[in-house]
Amino acid sequence: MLPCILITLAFAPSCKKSSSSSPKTLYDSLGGTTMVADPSNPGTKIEQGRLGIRSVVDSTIFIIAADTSINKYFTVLLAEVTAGNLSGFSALSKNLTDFFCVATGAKDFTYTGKSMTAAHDPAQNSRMNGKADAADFTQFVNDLVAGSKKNGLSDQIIGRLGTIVNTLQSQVVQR
Amino acid sequence: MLSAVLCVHIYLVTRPKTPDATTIVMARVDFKQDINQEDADKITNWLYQQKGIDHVLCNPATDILIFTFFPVKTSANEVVENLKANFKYSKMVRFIPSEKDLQGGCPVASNSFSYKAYNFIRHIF
Repeated sequence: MLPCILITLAFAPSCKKSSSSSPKTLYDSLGGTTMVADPSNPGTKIEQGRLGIRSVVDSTIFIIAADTSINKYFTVLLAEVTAGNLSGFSALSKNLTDFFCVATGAKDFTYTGKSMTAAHDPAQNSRMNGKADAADFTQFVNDLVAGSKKNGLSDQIIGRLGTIVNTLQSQVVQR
Repeated sequence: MLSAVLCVHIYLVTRPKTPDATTIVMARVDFKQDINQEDADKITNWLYQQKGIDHVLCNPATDILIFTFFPVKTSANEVVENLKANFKYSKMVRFIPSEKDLQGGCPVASNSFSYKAYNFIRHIF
């Protein structure tokens, strides 16, 4: 037992050093795991990185809902209350926030939905009523950029977010 | 017997619950006529002064109003009726998606197993 503890202690400093020198993720740049007050849920805390992403997601959802070029894909947003006491808006906000948290490097959250390929394939996802094309994807990105700007994200951060989102294009665009 | 118990359990866990103080719902209004930026701003400001409104976006480019609200404090229909009474856009209608609309789109909110099970059992009951 003692040797195990000694080995653990001996390696602990080096582990810490290597983790501190690892590159900052986008999630870190948005505030990372620093706990802050959650403005939407008084009396509770939220990771600052997640709050930043949720704010961008919620702004983007509003923009998409008013965007006639792609809002046909998102009518479920207007569903009132579904299972689990979540409306369509709240459910999509949570799912998209989980997805982007994981994609930007968060460690404390998981995305349990379908893969992007499966989610956008009508053969694998009955909710998808047609294959998305490049124009749909571009408009989604445009709305995401607008949502990011509404929340005061810098061009550099938006660029990094765009890089992540663009890696999904080949999975989302299927025609 | 076990299957019946499981069905009842899934139904109880996944059935829609009464909205509480934190529940937020989104609604959409189509103006069906051109609105300008000045009126979009007026409508936005007016809505923010109404009880139970969470967030508002009025897009004059598409003539669509989106807002979220707390259903324990107000309802979308009440908001839209008050909106009609206070603004000149008489053609405005609340867009309510049909069952078919709700079946399609929005792949991120895709059917989980529990959602499928809920729908299956909901139809039994």
